[in-house]
Amino acid sequence: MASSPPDSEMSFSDFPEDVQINILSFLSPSEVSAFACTSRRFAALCGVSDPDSALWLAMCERRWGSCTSLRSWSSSPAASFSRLYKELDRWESLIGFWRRIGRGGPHLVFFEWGPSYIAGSLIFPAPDACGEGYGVLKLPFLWLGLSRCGEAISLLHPGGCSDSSADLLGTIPDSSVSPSGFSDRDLVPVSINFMGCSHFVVEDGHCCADGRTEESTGFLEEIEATSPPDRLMSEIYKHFANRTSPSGDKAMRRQRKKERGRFGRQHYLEPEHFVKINNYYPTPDRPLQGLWKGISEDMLLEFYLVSYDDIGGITCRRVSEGEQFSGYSPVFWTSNTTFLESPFSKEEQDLYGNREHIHLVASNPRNVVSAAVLRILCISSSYDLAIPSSSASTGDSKNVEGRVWEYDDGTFGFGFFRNNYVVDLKHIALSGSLLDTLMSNVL
Amino acid sequence: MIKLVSGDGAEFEVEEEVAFQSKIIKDIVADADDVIPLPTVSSKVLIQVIEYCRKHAAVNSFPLSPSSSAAAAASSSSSISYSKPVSDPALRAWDNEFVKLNNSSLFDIVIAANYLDIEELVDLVLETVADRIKGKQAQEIRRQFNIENDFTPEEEEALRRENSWAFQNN
Repeated sequence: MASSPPDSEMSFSDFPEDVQINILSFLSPSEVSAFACTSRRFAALCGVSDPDSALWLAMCERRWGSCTSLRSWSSSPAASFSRLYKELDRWESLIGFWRRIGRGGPHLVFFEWGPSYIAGSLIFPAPDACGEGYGVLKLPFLWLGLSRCGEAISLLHPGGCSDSSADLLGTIPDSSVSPSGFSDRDLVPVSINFMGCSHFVVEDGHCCADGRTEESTGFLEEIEATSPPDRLMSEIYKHFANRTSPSGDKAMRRQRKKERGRFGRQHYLEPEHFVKINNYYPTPDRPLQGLWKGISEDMLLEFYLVSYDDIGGITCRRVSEGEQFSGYSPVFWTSNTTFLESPFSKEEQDLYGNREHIHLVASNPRNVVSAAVLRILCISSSYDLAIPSSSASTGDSKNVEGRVWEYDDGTFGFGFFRNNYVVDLKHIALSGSLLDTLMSNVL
Repeated sequence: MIKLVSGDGAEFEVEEEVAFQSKIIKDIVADADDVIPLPTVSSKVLIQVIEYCRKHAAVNSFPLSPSSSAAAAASSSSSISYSKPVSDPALRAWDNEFVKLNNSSLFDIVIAANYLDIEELVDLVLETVADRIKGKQAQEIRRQFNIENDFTPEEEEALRRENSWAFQNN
């Protein structure tokens, strides 16, 4: 290439074929389709008649290669990469946090990539002082993958149908004592229907006739027989495998299939609606934004959602679980997001320095905030929103005043003048994975 | 300093961290000397590649502060960008200027970057080429990339119908 041709003579076919595929992998299917119409050679390259062409794999790799192991999604020769592309294109928007709307309080669901599936888990602040007090309980909820035939499959873990987190949490001690107590439980095929990209509905999948159920069952047997699924799903399948293995007795399996089918028909799942929690991570412009966890003044681990509104204000709400008036209780707010920068005044230094960081007795003092305060933000307690007269009429604005201390590790703490505490918030998830998770022994 | 020699005999002295943007050069230097002949790369292209490496070496040598790198990691993982995003907006803007070249220049650079194994540069150029295909009909793409239409009109129409089925509705 020392002598480069003039531009008018440079043709796309001058690129080596692997480079051509690399270029095309940046395109969407409809753009590839237009390109494929340019000539016979490129129609062949784009694999118009071959849904498993190198290009479809490259397109999958380009979009999701860093998230999952695309070749392990299905061992079936019938499962094409064009099919996988289509499913992942649909499912990708699941990744992240969702909350259930409607009955039963705001369950938080976190979807993440597995090597050959997408898994959704219900997450709760762990009871007790697990994980230095910041443990997050993660319960299997939804699982999306491909069947042996390359069909898309969504499975619901039945624990996820419980009406409240209390029911769910209540099942844990039982199950760890007697796993056999779950013999009537099974994974339920469901359908996941998107309504726009930030709302989906989980519905009973049995309307799709028995073929669907059969297929998913066969698929599960295959999973158990082939590669051991890692982490999350190994929990789910351990129980399943124990029921269908180790003998591999066909008759037994058939019998169990029948039982499962019966169970499936008895079980009717109410449609459940979920909406996406956008902006669950901080950004350089919005350093406090996101989902956080912190130990409240009641010495309980709580989840907090900090959001920025369009006119520049910040609100922090607590994500309450399983209460009668569940939802989001306001914690603090501000309409002025200008930080006080270092060096801080003597008053500000004393205000922070004399405070106690809330932590559980069991936790290791070394883990309790060692970060330095980077910036300070003035906030107001949201109590005065609930009881407006209490502050305004008495003129005692000190009670509602508070501060956010932004630390140099990207986290922050907050506290109010009415007491001497700092509630330190930590990330619930970072870089696409949950932190401090405790797997439940539900299965 | 490392000396790079282009195919037409021009010599370029560059700092190690600049040259090491190329994995191949890094490997060569590890077990050989500091003068590296690159017979398949012209001086014109090598100048452009070195310019790119110099810029990226400079930016990469200033690590982000802990809070902003945490935020960058967080925002990149939540993004649904097709390729690894260059997280620094200023560098991204510089990259966009860098690739404002005609197709044959891009072609030369990608061949050289591929040979030198500078992954980020390969991806940058290939994405730029892909951007020139995006949103265009077959006839415009043919003109842009000098592709000869060897279909009969009937074949082309049939293919278009088949494709819209294969790519959009399967």
